[in-house]
Amino acid sequence: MDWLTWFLIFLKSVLTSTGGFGPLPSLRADLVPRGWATDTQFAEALAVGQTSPGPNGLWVVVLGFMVAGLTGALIALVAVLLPPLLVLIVQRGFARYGRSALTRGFLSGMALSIAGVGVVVLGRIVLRDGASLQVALLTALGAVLAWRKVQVIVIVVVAAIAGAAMAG
Amino acid sequence: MIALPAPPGLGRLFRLWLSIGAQSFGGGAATSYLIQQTFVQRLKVVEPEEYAQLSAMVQLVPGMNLLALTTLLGWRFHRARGVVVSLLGLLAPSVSIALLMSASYLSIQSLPITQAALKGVVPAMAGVSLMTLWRTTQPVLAARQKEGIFGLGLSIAVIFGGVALALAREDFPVFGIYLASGAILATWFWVRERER
Repeated sequence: MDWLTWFLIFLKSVLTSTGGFGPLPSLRADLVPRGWATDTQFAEALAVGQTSPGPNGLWVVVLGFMVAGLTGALIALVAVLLPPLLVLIVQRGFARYGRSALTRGFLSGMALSIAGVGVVVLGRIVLRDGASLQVALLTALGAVLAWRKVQVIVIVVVAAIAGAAMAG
Repeated sequence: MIALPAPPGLGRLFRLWLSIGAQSFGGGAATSYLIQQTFVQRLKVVEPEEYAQLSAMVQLVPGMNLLALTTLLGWRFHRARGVVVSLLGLLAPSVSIALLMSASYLSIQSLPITQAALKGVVPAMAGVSLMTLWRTTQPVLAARQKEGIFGLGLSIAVIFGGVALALAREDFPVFGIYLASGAILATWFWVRERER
């Protein structure tokens, strides 16, 4: 594994996005074509990462672990940690630029497109084995339970039982 | 003006973040709730207005907003040492548990029951992710809607433009889409402000 490239890929994905799921499209675009990760690993990392405590974005560290072990996870963690530190610089200019029309507009536009592209990438990952009624129903179930603010750990248990029952 | 209580010392700050990190099952929303409850409501070491300002600042940086918020609060109390202690406290339990869960998962990954369960969990987690994305997008759309039909239409066009480009080519550089979308809305915000 080329650890420098690994670090830079993770850093780029976090630097060019916001929020916990923001790095997903960029990471997938860089890791899957290289053959370094598969869509299945992405799906598994999202599932395990969301079940564990802490910020949603830690799924990126879980992906690092699943694909490249403890070293991969720790490098991913460093990449995740660095960009938010920029807030210490932003803090200095916030009073002057933070509420300007250009800044607010730019952030709004980015947030909207991250959501749109995120939906496409999630769709590709979930539909990697083809579309089915089961996938549609379980996706809707997850969304509805999250909307009802049900704890993620409960959603995982319910979905796991439903998946096992449907397979059986 | 009422003076705020003295900020927690480094040791206590570490323990507070440790407790937040270990309790925050349920993702970002649960973690934000615990942070606000600890520092604003319970300890009252940060005023609600200042907390709102810190929350706005973290929207301006890339990456996880919660880590930026943790950084700001750590800096607010003890500068660089506060940042290190706060990030370590928040992440030590959550990262350790996440890695333990990953290792446990990998050890049972190939079992047929795990594979069957995963067929349920993956789409459900995608549903949860979709809801999380919606929760971040909805306030932006609601704000644009208040400003009039053009702003809302432009915002929806930006979302679907990004979707169309991402669908058209799987290897489309996503950052290009983000930059273009940011530039479109920044231009519109700027024009609108000049007209006022």
